[in-house]
Amino acid sequence: MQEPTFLILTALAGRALHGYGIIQAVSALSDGDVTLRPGTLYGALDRLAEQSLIAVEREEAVEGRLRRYYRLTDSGAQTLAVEAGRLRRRAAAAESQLRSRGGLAPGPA
Amino acid sequence: MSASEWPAAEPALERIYRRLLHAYPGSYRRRHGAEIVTTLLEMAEPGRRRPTAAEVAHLLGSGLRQRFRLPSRRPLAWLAALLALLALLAGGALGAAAGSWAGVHTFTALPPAGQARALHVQVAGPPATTVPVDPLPAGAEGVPMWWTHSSADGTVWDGEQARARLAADGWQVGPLTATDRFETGTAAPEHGFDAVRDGLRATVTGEGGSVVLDLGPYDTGWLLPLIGAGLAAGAVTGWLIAAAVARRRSRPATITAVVTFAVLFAPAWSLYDDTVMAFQLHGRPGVQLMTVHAQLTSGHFDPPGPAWLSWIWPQVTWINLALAGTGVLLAVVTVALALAFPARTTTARQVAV
Repeated sequence: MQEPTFLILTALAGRALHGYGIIQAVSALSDGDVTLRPGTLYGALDRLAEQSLIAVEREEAVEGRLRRYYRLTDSGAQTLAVEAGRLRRRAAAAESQLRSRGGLAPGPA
Repeated sequence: MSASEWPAAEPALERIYRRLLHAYPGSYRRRHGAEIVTTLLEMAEPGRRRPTAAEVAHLLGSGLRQRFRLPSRRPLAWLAALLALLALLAGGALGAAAGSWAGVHTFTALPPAGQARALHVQVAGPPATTVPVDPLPAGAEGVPMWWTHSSADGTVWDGEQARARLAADGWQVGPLTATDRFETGTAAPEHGFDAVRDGLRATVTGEGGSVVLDLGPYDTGWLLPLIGAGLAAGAVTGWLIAAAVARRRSRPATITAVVTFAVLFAPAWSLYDDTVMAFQLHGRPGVQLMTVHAQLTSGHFDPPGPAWLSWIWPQVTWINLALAGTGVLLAVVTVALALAFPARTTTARQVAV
């Protein structure tokens, strides 16, 4: 799973969000490292909806403007949990290797 | 949520965003256009009237990428990928033929038969007794040519004098060399030369009193690049059409698509065969220029497709053209069916942009 996809699913895990809300949440979750652009975001949302990992919860429309709120589906939550577990094991492996190297303390300075 | 929380937009900026969305496929624009524009306006700082260059590039790039994208939902995904690959191959074959046709049209036009006859008289020299002029069957290889022959009993053709006569007439004349073009030989040695002028190449061969002249245009250098460009453009077009059809998830269109590829299989095979030949044999001495489109216009029967399939075809000269034409027609029907009978969309309601 690519990082933007992981972050989008993570952003939707807590509550349903519309496009701009997802962009802000992803930026906050990644400490500003990942700024999604609308084309990338909606390409990903379309693909994730096709794979039934997310679904549209509700819509608000006013004069040609539209906010569509997306939520994580059960299948999406399961996929995210598997991915989170995988990343946790990778991170743990990296930290363990660093510890065995000695001298370099893992974790934030 | 009150309307005041919606982004206040500069009308000019919103208009440009909506225009840029036309890079996206229509179905995608109807589904997501309004929410993309809303998001873009929410991201824009107040008072901005124009999108940044990076935004423009991003939207155009995303739209194009979306046009190439195939559905990712299984089990449709693998079927869509297979059909798109076949469309890419079929489109490439037809594109190569179109490029070949365009390439030949950059050549010098074939002069009237009278000129070929006059040149033959000049080449053969006195005393040529008979000068029949026969056009080769229009494009056995797709390039029109004149083939003329004469024979004068009891004389021996003088190649060097023929070269001198053509050189004096402004032709760029190649050296006289021993040749082996005649199927039946006499005791006299066979020899000949090439000469070019005004986009035409004359290939002259003599043996005893017999003289043969092939006169036709030579490659301007555009044939192979246009075949290659046609192949690439056709392949991309094929993929884009398949992706557009796949987005509509139409069952009747899927069925006609399968029939379309079944019909196009043999002619596409033949066109690729000739594309490879056109590149392999290009510029070889003594080999006539090979084209790709001749496969569709040939005046003689050439069984389409691989050899193991050749027994099923009726022995008619237009079989390749008929199959390719039917295939293209079926492709049009497929697109029409996809437009007329799309699968019901599962996404929430569409909002026009």
